[in-house]
Order: sequence, then structure tokens, then C-alpha cells
Amino acid sequence: MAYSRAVRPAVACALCLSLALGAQCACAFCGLYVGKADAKLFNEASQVIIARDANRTVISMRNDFQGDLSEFALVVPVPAVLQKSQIHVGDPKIFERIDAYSAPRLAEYFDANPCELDKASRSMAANSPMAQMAAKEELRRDTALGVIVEARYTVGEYDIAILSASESNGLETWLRQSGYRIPAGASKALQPYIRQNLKFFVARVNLAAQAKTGFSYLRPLQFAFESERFMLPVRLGMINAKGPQDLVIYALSRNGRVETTNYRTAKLPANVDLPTYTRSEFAQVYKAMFETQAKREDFRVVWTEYFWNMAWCDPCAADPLSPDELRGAGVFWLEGGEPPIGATSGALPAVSPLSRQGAQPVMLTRLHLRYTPETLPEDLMFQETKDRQNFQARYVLRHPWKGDPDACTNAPRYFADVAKREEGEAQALASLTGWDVDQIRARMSIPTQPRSTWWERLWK
Amino acid sequence: MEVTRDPVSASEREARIGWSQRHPGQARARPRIPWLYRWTSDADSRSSVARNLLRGLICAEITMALMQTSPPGKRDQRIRFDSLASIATRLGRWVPRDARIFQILFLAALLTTGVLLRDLSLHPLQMALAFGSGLATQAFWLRRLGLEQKGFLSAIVTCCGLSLLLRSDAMWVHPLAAATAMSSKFVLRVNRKHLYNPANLGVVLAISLLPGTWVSPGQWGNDLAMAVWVLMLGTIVTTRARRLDVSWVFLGAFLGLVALRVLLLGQSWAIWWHQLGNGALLLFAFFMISDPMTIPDRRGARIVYAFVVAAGAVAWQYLLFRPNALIWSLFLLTPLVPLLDRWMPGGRFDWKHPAIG
Repeated sequence: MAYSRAVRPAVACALCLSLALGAQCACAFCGLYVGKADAKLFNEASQVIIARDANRTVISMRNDFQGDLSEFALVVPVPAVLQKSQIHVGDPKIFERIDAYSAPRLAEYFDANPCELDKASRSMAANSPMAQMAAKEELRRDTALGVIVEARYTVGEYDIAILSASESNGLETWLRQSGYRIPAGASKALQPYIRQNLKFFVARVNLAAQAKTGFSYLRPLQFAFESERFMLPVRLGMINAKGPQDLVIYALSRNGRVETTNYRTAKLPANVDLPTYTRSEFAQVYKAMFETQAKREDFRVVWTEYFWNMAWCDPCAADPLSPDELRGAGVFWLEGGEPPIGATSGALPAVSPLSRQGAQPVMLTRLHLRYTPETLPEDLMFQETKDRQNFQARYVLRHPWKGDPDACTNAPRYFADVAKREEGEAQALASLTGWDVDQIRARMSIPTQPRSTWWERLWK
Repeated sequence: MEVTRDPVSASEREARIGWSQRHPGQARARPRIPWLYRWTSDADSRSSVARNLLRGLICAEITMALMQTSPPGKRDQRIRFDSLASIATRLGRWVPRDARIFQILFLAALLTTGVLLRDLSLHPLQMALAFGSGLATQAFWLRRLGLEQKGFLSAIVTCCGLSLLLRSDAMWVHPLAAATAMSSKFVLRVNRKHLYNPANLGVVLAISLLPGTWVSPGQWGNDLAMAVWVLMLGTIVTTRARRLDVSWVFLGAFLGLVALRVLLLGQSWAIWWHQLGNGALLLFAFFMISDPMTIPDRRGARIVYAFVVAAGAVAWQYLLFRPNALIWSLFLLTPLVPLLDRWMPGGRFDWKHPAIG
């Protein structure tokens, strides 16, 4: 993650998921939104919001630390010494909102009565593909260690120190003497950042201030700075990493989709028809699917789960964020706020047709990656592309019409089509999740298909 | 941070577990070449068809490479003893002398791989329009200037390059970039030689001026398997065009500077390997900077040029922290070519007689 925990929480977030029944979408063909698979699903998934426009960046980090608060510590490399006013304690709800809004979603449709369709005019049939369209520390000691405490602040429940160091061993010793339980060998990971003249943002919980807040949890830390580097220092978080880790990045930009430049960014398979029984277990389906896809690419791909203009959604897993919520998430370029960067230097500000209609020029890219120290050797570098094509990890349920197979001349053909469609759904689910296709067929109560090749039939 | 590493990588462990669960009691045969293993092990991949196609292509490349390395005088002897070489030699008569034919074949193979395996988000119509527009522009300029109708191979190479690099939400971007790129060959000329690599110019103009247009430098990923074969294909093309020096000097200089940075910052060498496996870097080295018409004529000048472009790219990427370092560095440093040609004149390159120069 973008930070290293002094002690890793022993309690993992319980595998929980809320299946909310949302309101019907305004758009007719997007179907009824029935569920989502949010970040809570992935144990210990770190969540970061990065709001960036030109060289201005606001990073928000969610702290889901579950242990003794006196043991919590955070070390983040930052490009400059941050002033107190550049550090802010945010509202944890913002992560919940942005997660809910961008989570992979499930939409469902109900087939129309095929007999009714039969009666409809043939010109209507021409419109039917539309209905089927699948719509993303002391001074002396410090000096001896080569560590300079550039600044100290207390912001909210956090005691923050901004350090600059000249030697990684000195920094490791300083942190240890100051009561931070830094894992052994951390100096090797700290060294590249020191040599790049980066400063270190070190935070721990001020228990007295924390008690005053009245919250039982830690609020997210936010910091704003200006830097040409559009990156996330994830390597430091791998010192004490055990096994694959999950990271969800919500990138908020003005003009277009955000992607990684030193790793491949790919879109998850989406807009796939799934068997209707997955309605109640979409969370498990999505988890298995993400694991299968990530493993298939050797954990070397950064997955795009969602990219959309924050003004709207279709179907909506949650309402779009309000301008206040967007500011809470670090968006600094909203109307009535900052003028566009470069506007004074004569460059044309980017004005989208949507912003002229009153919508906020805020794009959200949700990136999800599962990684191990081997598969992520270099910190994540990003770029904002000019891509504005919406994408969502959306999955579709199609409920067949429940009627008499002999109701009309169209009915038998309809049920034959449904059988073919259901077989396709079973195979799609098996391919996406790596589950056994026969078990899926059994759950769907559809007949098991004969083995397709002669050797499969021989050694079944 | 480096931790104690199991000699078996996590992904390999995963793969083994998956196999033993699916096929209990069965041992899995693994080829000795790890990258070939990567290509072959993943049977439930999206498109095993494309992978088979690639393996076929790799075999074809090896055969062609063997053919190229065998001296012409000894070919007859080989025919008597080696039936494979015999077939290859007979096929060799049909192998064109123009390196651009190979370039087109290889770029087309890369496009196929990209579209089928790498989800390049490229619409077939965008490609078709780019080719149509590029070729039409070439024909238009030749006719207008009253020149012999030739140079269409170069146009195809440029259109392949644009399709491989440029990404857009719109349909009109690719043809416009192709037309601009081809026109630059006839308009931006210095010393009877076109100045810019057309694909490089087309891409830079498109991403800086057109809306909804971008380049995804990470699109090829960093797996070494891909790196190995792009390296192989590139070697053949540049060897035939006798301009191998630029590609290798560029790669050496770029990776040397990245290695220097790793040493200075005390980073893990995994970062260097990660850069080495970057498909975009290899593609640039073998298919863009190697274009014999837009690099200095003399060997010494080409080596200087390759060093400067590599240094420019490293500065762009690690000092300015901006994306697409390679294409920007080449674009900004291209004006050096006529200057180098003036200071160190050399023989002009000819596609039909590639050995000269």
C-alpha cells in the first residue's frame, strides 16, 4: 500500500456484503440494479483516493486499522515538506460513498411474453436488439542519525512529523527510537526514496485527541501537494507483506480515464449474462471472477472496474457524489472553486460539453489490483488519458418468461432459445470464475451437456 | 523490499496448485524454456488460437533467421545433407529483398497479438480507415508532385505503427493522423530527405492536438516472453536493413542509464528487469528509431543520435516525470538529424540496396 503499518492488524475484515435494492434506473434498457460487489469483499483491501489536475494532487488514505490504536503508524514518502494546512483529516463516509457508487454491479431484466411479441408488428422486432443490448523526536540525536524533523503537527487524531533523511539506516533507527515498530530491513526499502530527495510523512495516533473526537475508528488522512509525479509509492508497504494484497485506487480527474504507465491496465470482462441464481450470491461470483482473472494474468495487470463521469451513472449502484462530497474526496477544481490551471497562462481550459450543461467535470476511474512483491517491482506511475468512453463492471441477469410452452406458435422457439441462452450463461460463469460447469448447470437445473470430444466421453 | 524468496514464484505455485486440484495424481510435463511454458500452459486462455498462430510465426522467424545466416556459397551443400535447409533455401528465392515486407509482416503479427491477447481497444474500422487514408495520401502526393507511384510499403509500415500506438474514442482520429503523417514525408523535407519518422510525428501531433486521443505506454505489459520475441523479430528486420546499430545502441544506452539510476538510488534490480521487459521499449527500438530514412546516414552519427535520444527519454521519464518518454524524445530530437548529416556526411540509404550506407 501507500503506507506501511507498524503492526498488521490481526483481525481481518469479515467477509461482508450488503446487497442493496436500489431504485429503478431512469433508463429503460439498463435493467433493474440489484446488487454490487464493493471493496469490503476483498480482505484488507487498501483504498486510496487520488484527485489530480495538472500538477496538483490530493491523496486520501483510508485507515481500516483494526488493532490497538497506540500501535498504528503510517509512513508515506511525499515530494515536499507539507505545511499543516496541506494536511487534513477527512470523513470516512467518503470512501463508503465512492466505493458504493463505483462498485461492480448486477442488473436484471425480465423477458417479455413471447406470445405478446408475436402479436406486435414486425417493425417492432427491428427494435428488439436494442432491448438485448449489453450496455465500468531530540535534535542532536536526530542530526547524528541524519534525520531532520522538518515539521510537527497535530491534525485531528493524528500526530504528524515530516522528516527528511540523508541515510536510510539513520531513518530506520530514528523511527525505531521514536517508538515506531518498523520491520527489520526497512532501510533498504526507504533508501531509494531518500536518494530521490523525497520527504517522509509519518503519522501516529494521538490517543488524547482521538478520545476527544468521540469516534471509535480512525478517519482518513488527506494531503495536498504540487508535484509532477503522478504516482503511488506502493513498494514501502510491501516490507511486511504476506501473500497477495489488494489495492483499490479511486482516481478523480478532470478530463479522462486514468491508467498506469508502467504496468498494463486492462478492463475486466463485463456486460456478461450470468445465471439468474447468482442474484443472491453476486458477491461470491465477483470475488471468484476477480481472483481468476488476476491469476490468469499472473497478478501483473491493473484492472479498471469503473470509469464514468461523476455526474451520472447507468445503472446506479449508489447516487452520484454531491459537489460537497466530491470536495471531501479532494476534488479542488469544481465550479466556484479554483480556476482551471493554466487559464492565466493563456492555455484554453478544458470545457466538456457536459460541464456546459451544468454537470461537474469530474471523472472517476476505479482501479483494482492484486499484487505480490514479485509482480510489482516498481511503484505505480499513472497518466490521465483523454479517453472518455464510459466503462463499468456490469453483469446481467435475464429472467425467462414463465409461461406455457404451448401458449402460442412462438413459445416453443422461445423456450429453445432460453435453453441455449442458459447454457451460454453457465459456460460464461464457468469461464469467468473457474468453477465447474456441471455444478453450475446443476444449480441452474439445466441438463448436463454431453462431453464435446471423444476423449472426454472416454474418460469422463 | 526484498523478502526471503521461495525459488518457485508465487504465480507458478498457484499454477501448480490449480493443476493438481484439477488433475489429482497426475504429474505435469513442463517444457524447459520458461517463456514457452508461459505461452503454452494457459490452456483456458481467451484465445489459444492466437497463441498457436504466434508459435507458428516464431517457428517461421527461426527458419528465416537460419536462412539469412547461412553463407550463399554453402547453400548447395546444405541442400544435400539437410532437407529442412533445402526447403528453407527454396523458400528463400521467394523472400523479398526489401526489409519493409518483413516489417509489415511483423507489425501485422504484433497488431494481431495486441488485438486478440492484449485488448488494445482498437476498433477494426479505425485500422481500416488509417490504412485507407495513409495510402490515399501517399498516392495523392506522388501524383501531385509527378513522381513515380512507389513508397506504398513505407505507408503501410507507418499505418501499422499508428494503429499500434494511437488510441482514440473517435473514428476520424486514425485517418487524420495517417494523412498528416504521410503528408509530412512530402512537406517536411531537409536535404532531400524527409525529416520526421511519419508515425512518430502522427502520434505526437494527434495526442497533443486532438481530443479523445491518447497513447497507452503500458499496453504491452512487461512479461519477458513478449520481450524475447519482439527482440527476435526486430533483429531480423534491422539486420536486413543494415541499420542494426541504432537499435542496439539505443537499447544499450537506455537500459544503461536505467541501470545507473537503479544503482544511484539503491533500488532493486527487479526495476531494471521490469524496464527490459517493456514491450513498448522494444517496439520503439526496433520499429521506430531504426527507420533508416529518418536517422543520420553515417554510422558514427547514428550512434551519437541513438545515445542522445536515449538520454532524452530517460530525462523525460525520470526528471520530468512525464509519460510517453520514447516518442517525445524522438520527436524533440529529430531536428538533430540534418545537423548530424551536415557534420558527418554519409551514403544515403536505399531500401533496394540495404547493404550500402
